[in-house]
Amino acid sequence: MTKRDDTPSRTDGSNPALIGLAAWVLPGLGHWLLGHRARGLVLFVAIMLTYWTGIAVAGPRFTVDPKDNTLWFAAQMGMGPQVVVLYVATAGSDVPPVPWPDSDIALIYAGVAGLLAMLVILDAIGRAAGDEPVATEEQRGAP
Amino acid sequence: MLSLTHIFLTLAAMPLFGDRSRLLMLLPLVLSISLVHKAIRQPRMADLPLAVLALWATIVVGMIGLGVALLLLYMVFS
Repeated sequence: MTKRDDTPSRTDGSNPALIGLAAWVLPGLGHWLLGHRARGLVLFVAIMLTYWTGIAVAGPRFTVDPKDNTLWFAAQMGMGPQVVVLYVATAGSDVPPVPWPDSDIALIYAGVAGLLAMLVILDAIGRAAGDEPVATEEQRGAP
Repeated sequence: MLSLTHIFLTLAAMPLFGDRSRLLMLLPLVLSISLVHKAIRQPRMADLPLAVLALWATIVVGMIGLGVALLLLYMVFS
C-alpha cells in the first residue's frame, strides 16, 4: 500500500543522516524516500528550475566561482554534487565578462536555490527524525 | 508639496535599471521561494496552489510597497 503524500510522516526505520544525504544529492529526494512523493517532486522542480535559470543567465563559469563569488558559491553548495561537477568541468576556462544586471540575477538565482535546498535538507532530516511541521490553528480546524 | 500623481509619474518614468524588464525576474524567483516554503509547511498538498499564490502575492505587493515607500523618502529628502 502506498503512503498518501499528505499523511503525517511516521518514519519508522528512516535514518535521518541518510535522508539528509539523499536530500543533498538531489533536492526533494529525501522527501521522496520518506513517502512524500508529490512534495518531493514539487521541491525538485522548483529548486532545479531556479538554480539552472541562474546558470543559464550568466553561464556556469561565472556563476559557480568560489574565488570571486565565495559566499554565493557557499550558498550554492546546498544544491549537492552538481555544483562540484559544474565547477570542475569549467574551472580551466577564463571567467567571461557578464554585464550587470545579468551577473547579479545569475548569482541571486543560484544562491537562493542553494539556500532553499538547504532548507529542504533540514526539513527532510526533521521528518525522518519524526518531527512534524507545526500546523496553524486554521489548519487544525480549531474554532 | 509633492502630489501623488507627480510621484507615480516619476516612478513610471525612472530608468531603475538599463533595462527595466529585468525587474520582472523577481516574479519567478518569488514564486520559487513561495513554492518551496509552502511545500515544506503545508500539511495537505491539495492546499498548495492557493497557499503559494497567496504568499507570492503578499511578497510581491509588499516589495512594491517597500519600493514606493523608499522612493517617497528619497523624493522628500532629496
